[in-house]
Amino acid sequence: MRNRTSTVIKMHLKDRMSWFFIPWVFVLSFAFAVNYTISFFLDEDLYTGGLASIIIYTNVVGFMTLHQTFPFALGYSIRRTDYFLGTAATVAGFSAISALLLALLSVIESRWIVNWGTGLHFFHLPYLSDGTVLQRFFIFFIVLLHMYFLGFVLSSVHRRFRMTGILAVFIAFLLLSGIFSFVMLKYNLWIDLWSWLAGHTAFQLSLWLVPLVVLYAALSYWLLRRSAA
Amino acid sequence: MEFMVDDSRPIFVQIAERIEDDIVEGRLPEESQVPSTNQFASFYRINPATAAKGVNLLVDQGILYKKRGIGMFVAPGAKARLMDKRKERFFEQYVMTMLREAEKLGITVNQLTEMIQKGANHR
Amino acid sequence: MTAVVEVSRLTKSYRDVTAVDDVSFAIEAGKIYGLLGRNGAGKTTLMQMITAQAFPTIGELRVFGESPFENNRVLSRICFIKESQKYPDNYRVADVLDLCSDLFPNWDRDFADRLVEAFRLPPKRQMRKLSRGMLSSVGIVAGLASRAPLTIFDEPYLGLDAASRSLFYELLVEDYAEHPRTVILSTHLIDEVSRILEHVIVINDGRVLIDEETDSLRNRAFTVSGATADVEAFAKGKTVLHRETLGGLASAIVVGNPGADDRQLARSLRLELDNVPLQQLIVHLTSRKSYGKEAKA
Repeated sequence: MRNRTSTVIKMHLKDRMSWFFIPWVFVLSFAFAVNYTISFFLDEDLYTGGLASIIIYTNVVGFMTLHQTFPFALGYSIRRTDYFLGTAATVAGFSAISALLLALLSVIESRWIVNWGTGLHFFHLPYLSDGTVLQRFFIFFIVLLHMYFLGFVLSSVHRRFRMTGILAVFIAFLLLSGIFSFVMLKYNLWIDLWSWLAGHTAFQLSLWLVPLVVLYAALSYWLLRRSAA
Repeated sequence: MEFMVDDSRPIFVQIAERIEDDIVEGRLPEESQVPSTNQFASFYRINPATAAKGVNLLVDQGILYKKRGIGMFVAPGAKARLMDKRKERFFEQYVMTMLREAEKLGITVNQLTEMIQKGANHR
Repeated sequence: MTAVVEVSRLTKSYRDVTAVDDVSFAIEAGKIYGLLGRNGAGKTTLMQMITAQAFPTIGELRVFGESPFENNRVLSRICFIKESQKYPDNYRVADVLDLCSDLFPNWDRDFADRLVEAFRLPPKRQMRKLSRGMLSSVGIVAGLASRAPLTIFDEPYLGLDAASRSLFYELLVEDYAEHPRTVILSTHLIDEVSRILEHVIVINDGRVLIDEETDSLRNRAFTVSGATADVEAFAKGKTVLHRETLGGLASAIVVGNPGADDRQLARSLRLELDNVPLQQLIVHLTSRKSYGKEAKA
């Protein structure tokens, strides 16, 4: 029997629009072009968060994937498990390749064509790009993966429990963050938190996303196993 | 040409009747090969199993016989036997019905014979 | 005969409705089945459970002898084409068919190409830009070329004209004759498909009303017509599915096969006896809730 997980990867990659053209050609190139144009007219250096565009886009794709491909995959005799594994593999691949390119671009920006000749800081940002190239790669990788699975787990909740589920998650989130803030405030812990954050590098902090990604992935798999087409 | 299948009667019976017609009217001579079940199926757009059932009905009656690995053939003497069967049916369906109807209309048997003679001359 | 699908006391309830209600039947290998019934009778839910896309509330379900849920041995042998099938937005016709060649082990690429031509499908066009009829054609091409041991078509021809539907039946019969497999055809166009069905399962209000060979169903009822009083006299003591009157004339659909006595009685009362086409029979059966009980009695 052919490996149906790889068929799912193939299924995703046939949609080159969502996985290549939109994130790289439209979203990121557009954000870069706009910032580059602005930096051209500015005397001082421009530090920009244009990189967020591809990160937010990845989050949106995470939301959309399930809606776009899950009913199709199940309708064409694909197991939920194969769907999940194939999707996770596709996203891991997408995040790895994107992170590689982003790390490379940050090297180009910092060393080869310094700030693109116009004082634009787009791929190589203070704090974020402080570590080694490998660390930069990992940060990009885990951030993209995390954003994808955040969208994916929420749309899995929607698929399994519809709007009620999304509302429940939203209310739970509000409650927990309220309690958290209250506790932090009451015991004067905010300052401690800030100094703790400041005492760690971007790479060290990004490691905290690993358990979150694992949690989202496990949760979405659990939900998909219980979802109808 | 669209070959209609009547949806209110078993189709295998209709297939058997079509084959019988072909034998009686000489389109399928004795010892000639009958189309395969699949040919019947795609020609009439019916289920092959249904076509097979119709063919097997005639095999059971000895009208068709099977040559192993080749197909179905019209049995010797099939035409004569079908003609006899049809004559019996003709008697029941047409002659008896005509006699009953004639009785209702007060037509005597003699008058009826005359009418048949007249009709035959007319052709 | 081996059963491809075995369903036993299967029930699917949603919050306030029971879509499938204590259903049992078996689908035998190598036959073309008709799953018939009115819209909302529970046909689609039933097929979604058979293909592990929906979960039974209670009951047993075996496909190729195993549970279909998350089971590639079973699922790789099923192709389920449904009217409401969704496709990814950016997919082209060729993308769907290319993926099919990975998904269905018996996929016949040449046959698929011929079908694409026969149904005049533009392979490069995006799925979302196809007309309703073309979208249905893609499903038909996938279903036929998959040659899946269990191929299910659920109302596969929304938006297709009569000529294309006729082409579908023709191709189905031809290809089935060469490559026998189990086919379930769910539809409300009974007139069009009945002659290619070997076996019919009629679902009404989530229950199995009829599970019978198609040809024997054609002998299941007859129409008697004539003067109202005579029709009533004839129908006395018989199960009548449907009555119609026009002036002093009446016709009734009577369950059963007229015997010699019936024919004699009809002749003496000057009544006409006629056969009932399958479609009409099923329409009357499914519009009468009490039929199931009476028929068993």
